[in-house]
Amino acid sequence: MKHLEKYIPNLLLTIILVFALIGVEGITFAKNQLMRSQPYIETVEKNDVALKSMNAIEKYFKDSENYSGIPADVYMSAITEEDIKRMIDMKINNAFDYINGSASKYDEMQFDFTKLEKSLSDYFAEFAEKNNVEIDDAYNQQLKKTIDTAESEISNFTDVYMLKMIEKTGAFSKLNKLYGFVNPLIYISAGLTAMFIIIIIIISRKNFLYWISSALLCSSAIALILCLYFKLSGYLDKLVIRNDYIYSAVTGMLNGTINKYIVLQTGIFAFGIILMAIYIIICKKTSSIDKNSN
Amino acid sequence: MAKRSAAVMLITPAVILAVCSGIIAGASYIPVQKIKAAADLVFSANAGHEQINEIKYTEKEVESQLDNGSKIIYPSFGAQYATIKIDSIDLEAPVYFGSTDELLKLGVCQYLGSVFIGEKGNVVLDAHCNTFFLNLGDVKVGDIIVLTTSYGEFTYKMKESTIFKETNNELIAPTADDRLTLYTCYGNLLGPTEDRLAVICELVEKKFYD
Amino acid sequence: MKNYIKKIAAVISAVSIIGTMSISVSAATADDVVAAARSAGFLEEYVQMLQNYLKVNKFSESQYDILVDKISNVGSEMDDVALKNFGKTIAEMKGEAKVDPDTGVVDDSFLKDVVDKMTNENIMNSLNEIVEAGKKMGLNITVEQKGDKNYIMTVRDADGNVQTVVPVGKLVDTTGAEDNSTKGYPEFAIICGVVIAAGGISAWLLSIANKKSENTNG
Repeated sequence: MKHLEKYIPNLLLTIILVFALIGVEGITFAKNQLMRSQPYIETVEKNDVALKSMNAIEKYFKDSENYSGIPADVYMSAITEEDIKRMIDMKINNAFDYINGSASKYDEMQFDFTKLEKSLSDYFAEFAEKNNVEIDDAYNQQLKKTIDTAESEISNFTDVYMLKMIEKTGAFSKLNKLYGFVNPLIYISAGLTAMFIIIIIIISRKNFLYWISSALLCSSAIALILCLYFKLSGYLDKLVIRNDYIYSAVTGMLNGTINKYIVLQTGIFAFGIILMAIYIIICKKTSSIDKNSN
Repeated sequence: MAKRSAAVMLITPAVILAVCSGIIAGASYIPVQKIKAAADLVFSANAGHEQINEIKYTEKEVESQLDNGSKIIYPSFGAQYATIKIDSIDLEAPVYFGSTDELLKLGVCQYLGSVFIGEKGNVVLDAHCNTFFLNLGDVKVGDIIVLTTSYGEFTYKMKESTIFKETNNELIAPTADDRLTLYTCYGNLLGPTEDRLAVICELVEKKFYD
Repeated sequence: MKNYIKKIAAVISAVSIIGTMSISVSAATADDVVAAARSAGFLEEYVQMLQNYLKVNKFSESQYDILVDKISNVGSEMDDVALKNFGKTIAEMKGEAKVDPDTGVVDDSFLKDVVDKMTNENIMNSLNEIVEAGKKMGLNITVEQKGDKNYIMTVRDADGNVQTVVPVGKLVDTTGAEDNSTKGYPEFAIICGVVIAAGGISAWLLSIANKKSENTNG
């Protein structure tokens, strides 16, 4: 085996390269997987979240039949699973539009509830006719209140990622400010990675493969250890979310993200091993050539 | 000698891993704690809260009679003597008489300078904005708040909400009318703030048990 | 003769003892204590706290006497502040305060003005009176300063159980989230430091070993 030339300088450069690699991998992955609405929407589809949300809405209106006197069918006939899915997607898209700067503020949702309003108005009119109820201001006020409450409740049930709660913590405005730095950070960390690789190649022509593969192995090992700790400690299972549809969406997204990151890092780890193997093979070949020439 | 070289090559990645892990762990401890606090806030707000019994309080109840003849049971400091229920924000929590850091972790606390529940005047209750009163801001005008004690049930209706500074005692001062004032921190869920959100409610019904 | 003088001396001392006793015995009640607090210039919030405390914790007449006495000393302290800043005593300011014609309630905003002028020293002097009262009543009262004009007074009974915890100065609770992000950080940082140092020492040793293998290989 050969000795490693310029050991301490190469070691320090490799340590910095590890950070640069973690940075470029992490930020690029975060941008593609966490800072776009698509992965969140795909998770909702994959986990049938719209159906679960629909079931929760139906249960809510059924439970409220006793004190509201309005059958659940009046509401449920006016909304479909497709409507729920569209509302969920709209909320997610609106959140990311604000985060990435496409929208100047976070607008929860602007959904067309015409069908629901018509269904409730028709029911009220029918009830009024049957029971000789006068259509006056009080009647109209009650109808408006019922419509507003229904729209608000349905809207709550489609907030599957608890975006309203997250907005309360101020996270959206913070992310909005940070979003502008994402691309520059990717370029900077990619540039630094390339720069350090080139420097290592220049100062350690015989052993650069060793140092670069060590950097790849260490950066991916750190990421894998963290992800596996997350998965094995069961942190996600400890999340206290009472609602099935929210639980499915949130844990589905988190699990999916961690799994994708594990796959990415495993690939990088494997690449590191391949480079190391190539280095060892080259070392053995050159040392056997040296032996033969001696 | 080859063995020495091999050992160096084998141990070096482990050294790099150790140094990098140490630096990353040290640098990310505080940001991770902040993210964890936000995650706990979002996901665990309605979870059960830790029971702490570090301080031993005097336990006693004093039965008495109000001017109108109704029976009232005065609790001692630190006793849980009521529950608060606000259906519109899905809140049901214990109410403790008095407020200290420990009691605020256990439930909703009653400000000592306010009247006992059922007496004439201003009942003032407060709780942490990241736990029991997380959704206090969502209480709307007309929403019903019920305080239940061992001697009666008291119903209030939300009248108005306002923001005030922590140095302003106006809203927690005694009043001539019967009201319920709920307050919590406002503006920063993840840290201390000077502002408070107050929800002022008017009395609808006093029902003393015989 | 001697016996006659002794009897007279006994009567005289008995009368003087009775006379002294009659000065201190006044049979105060909880309501008297509350009234004393109001006339001393306590803000209505503190009067309410005192009322609430006395509804649950009962004392003897002599203990109420002690409280009345000490509260009046607090009143003297407040009178000094009022005289220094406004040129009048609390009672004089009360006499000049507006009265609601419908309810007859006196506008006590002047009390807030007096309290605002109290320094930390004034407040501590007042609280010390209460601590002294506690000592005489068999209670253990402690005062902790939390900040400028911000105190917490804890009252414990003879067994050490907490009877009440009273805020003085800052009455509105801190109900925000605690920032625990730095909790445990020093210990964690030390562990990280040790790991990094161990890595550094190992790197140095490995570089020596590497140099030795370089020298051997020529």
